[in-house]
Amino acid sequence: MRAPAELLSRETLEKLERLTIRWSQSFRGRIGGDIVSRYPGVGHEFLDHRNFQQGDDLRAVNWRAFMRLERLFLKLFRSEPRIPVRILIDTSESMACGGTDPDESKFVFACRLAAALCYVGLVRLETIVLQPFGSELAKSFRAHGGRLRYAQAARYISDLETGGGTSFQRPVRDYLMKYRVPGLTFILSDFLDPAGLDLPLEHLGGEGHEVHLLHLAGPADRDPPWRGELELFDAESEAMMRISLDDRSAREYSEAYDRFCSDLEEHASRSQAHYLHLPTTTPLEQALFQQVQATQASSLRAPERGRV
Amino acid sequence: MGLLNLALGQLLGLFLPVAGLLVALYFYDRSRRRVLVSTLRFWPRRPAPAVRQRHRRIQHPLSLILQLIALLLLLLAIADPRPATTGTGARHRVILLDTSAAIALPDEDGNSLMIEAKELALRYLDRIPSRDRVLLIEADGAPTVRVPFTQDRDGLRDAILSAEPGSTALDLQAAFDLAEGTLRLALDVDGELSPGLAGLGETVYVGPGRSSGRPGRPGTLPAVRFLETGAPSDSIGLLALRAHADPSEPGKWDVELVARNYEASARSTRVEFLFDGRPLGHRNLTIAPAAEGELAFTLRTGQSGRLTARTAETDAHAANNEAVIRIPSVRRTLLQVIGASEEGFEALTASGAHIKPSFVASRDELDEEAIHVWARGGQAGLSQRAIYLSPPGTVSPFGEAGSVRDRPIKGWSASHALARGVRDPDLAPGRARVFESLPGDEIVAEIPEGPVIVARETGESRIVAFGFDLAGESVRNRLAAPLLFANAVAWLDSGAFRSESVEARPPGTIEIEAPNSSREQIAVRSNDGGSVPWILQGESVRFFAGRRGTYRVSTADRDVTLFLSQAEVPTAAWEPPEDVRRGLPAPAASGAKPWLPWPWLAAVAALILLYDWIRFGRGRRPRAGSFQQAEARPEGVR
Repeated sequence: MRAPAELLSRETLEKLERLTIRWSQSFRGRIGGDIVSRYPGVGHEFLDHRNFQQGDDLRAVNWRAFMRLERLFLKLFRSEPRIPVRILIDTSESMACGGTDPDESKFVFACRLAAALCYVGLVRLETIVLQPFGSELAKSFRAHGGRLRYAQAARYISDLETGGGTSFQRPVRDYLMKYRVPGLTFILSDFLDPAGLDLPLEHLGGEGHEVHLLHLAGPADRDPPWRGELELFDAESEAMMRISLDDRSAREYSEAYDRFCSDLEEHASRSQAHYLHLPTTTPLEQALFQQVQATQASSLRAPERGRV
Repeated sequence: MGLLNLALGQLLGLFLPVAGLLVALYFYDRSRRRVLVSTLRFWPRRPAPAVRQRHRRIQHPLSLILQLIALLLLLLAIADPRPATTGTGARHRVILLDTSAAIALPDEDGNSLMIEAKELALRYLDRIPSRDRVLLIEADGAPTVRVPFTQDRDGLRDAILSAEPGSTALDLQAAFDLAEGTLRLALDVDGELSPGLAGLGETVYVGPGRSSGRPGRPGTLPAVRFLETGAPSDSIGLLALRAHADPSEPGKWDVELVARNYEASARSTRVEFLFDGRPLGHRNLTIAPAAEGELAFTLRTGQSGRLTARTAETDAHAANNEAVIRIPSVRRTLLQVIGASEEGFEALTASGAHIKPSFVASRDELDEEAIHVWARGGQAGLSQRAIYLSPPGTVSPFGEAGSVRDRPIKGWSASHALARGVRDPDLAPGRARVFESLPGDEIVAEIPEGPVIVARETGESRIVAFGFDLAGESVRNRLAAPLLFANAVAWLDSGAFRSESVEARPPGTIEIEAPNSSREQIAVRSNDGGSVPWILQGESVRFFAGRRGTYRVSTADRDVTLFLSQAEVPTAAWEPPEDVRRGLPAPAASGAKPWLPWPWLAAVAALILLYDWIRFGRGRRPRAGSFQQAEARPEGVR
């Protein structure tokens, strides 16, 4: 399955310019961004004083306080670090399933969502890395330099195709090896990895990445519309299962899927990752402006004017 | 409501097997569906028996019901249900369109009566409700149904416009009887057609109302309408031209001409006669008004030829201004007598004027076409057709068992043609030979010692042997002698004593006198050799000839050749009863076409099938990822 050629309309792009990507944890040592860090650093907004210690920058010493109190105090400023934003896009075969038409597939939704996040980041002069993955990492795309680079990013996303299975172990290991600087990591996937997500999430959190799991689900993924005698084929493994699907069986399926979502959310919580379940039937703008904003209060929000 | 194309049984007979097949296909179709899903990990695992138990469950009963309903609707559409025709609205009407010979004539103004009748019939069609069912009968000498009861106005109009005048006179009573019979059949009525009967409409006669003999009473038809055209106009018409061969004089024909004056005043006309195109002469004929006139003359000719009679003046009906018959050549029966002189045979050969005897001395002079008479004393030989008179047993085809003298003949085979009319118990030849009959021989007369008259028929050969000399002194003066000889000649040549007539007359019901004729002796054939059905009423042969042509009627002793070329123009005007309505009816209030439900049934069935296809069809795309992944999946995975 290929990504759609036209990802976002002009009207949607205009609306996205009101948003900015925010993160909840602070990253030490990063400067040059719009987001104020909780850690002191190089900046313009005064934060606090502390005692001078050997090795501190003498330019930050409050000489007026020294003249008055004869003690060296160091002025601390709020830093505004530039944090790398990385978007992992699941391109496994299961992403092509779950919808009754191509627009409802998880892959199309993931591509549009990734394009939207990319545009929001580019508008704020962030550096956006688009990293597709399946059973391993694919060739990535780095976008920076403002909104003018969005066209290249959109072309890159439009060229993506589904294929292969889903595995988080190796891709996460390779990801941590490839991107050693912690940053904001969005994972757009259905998370249907038979091996589970416990270890990968722990590794990501342990390396200081702020992880956001955007769990995409097609309408058929939770509520199968079929009834009767079925031969089910796994999209990734091509395993087959015969089943007589009635309302009771369908209910059992939905319950199992809900348990899977709950477990995934719990794992995310334990790993200090953010989790959001996004049905593909949700309009993209609603998903961006309401659900993502509401569930991740510090990730996507309108810029706080007046703050320095 | 009735079904036009299918009976209810046929409808069910089609629906039930197809519905059964549909259900079977439905189960087959619904048995196992292939679906591509994101993962199999959440699907409940069930034991296999449970799957098998559910294998035949109806998964989408609504789909099956919709398909069965659509099938039933489609079959109903094919069956073409029609609103009840015997209800309050639709009526059965019969149009009797005159196609007799009279309709071919113009009226007094020169207008075609046929065109006028067609226009009246078409205007009548336009004025009756379109839901009424109309039957069209072409009324002539033998009325026939042209279009059965139908609401198809276009078909009726085409049939009316294509109607052509026939050659027979109108039998209006037969037309009314036919209309009544068809109405009884259509309305399923056994008794009389009562005026208040549901679905009963008018019976309409369209024409000039000139019918033959029978009066034309509508019978029990309660509603009859008369759409009268103009009256046919004709002056004098030749009805018949007959020629009878005189049996006493070969080549002599008694010719008789019958003509009719159709006008209200006496008319005189000159009738010219021609033979093979050459004028024979003419006769003046004066006929009283509305009466027939005859004239007769004698024609002597030994040659065949066309005898034509025609009026000097021509009128509008040219078909009746001329009558033509073909006079056949004189037919003679050649008789060759071997071994006897003319004396003694005069009485025998004088039995028929067409018998031409000749006496030859030797067999070298014999003609194969002639009947050979081997007289006593001559050397008998073999012939195709021969009469042996007391032949010697050594040289004749018949073996001789002995001879007797003065023995009266008592035993006659009355059924044989040779013994027909012979009633002479005292016939006792002076000397008679007794024959030895062979198997297949027919014994015509015998004495106790054995047969004395024997007939033998082998293939096309016919021979008869007399054990005594018919020209002998002991026999020739008796009445039975020439009768036996004439019977023998007639048996050997069937046309020897038959009379011949030729006649030109109108088609229709033909009646020919056939006295003393059995059914086996009667034959009626058309000019193409086909046998024509006939009946024997008393001593007359009756048959119906609806078209012009040549017919030949053979009876026991007579051949009649009929040239049915004249047109019969009846003069009897129909006087309709007082309750018969005249003129065109007022236009019907409702001229709308009847509502035909079959297109709607078909449309509803199509909509149901479309909905079923969209809702449950295999072409729908509810399958996960199927639209892009089909090529990567196992074949058939949706």
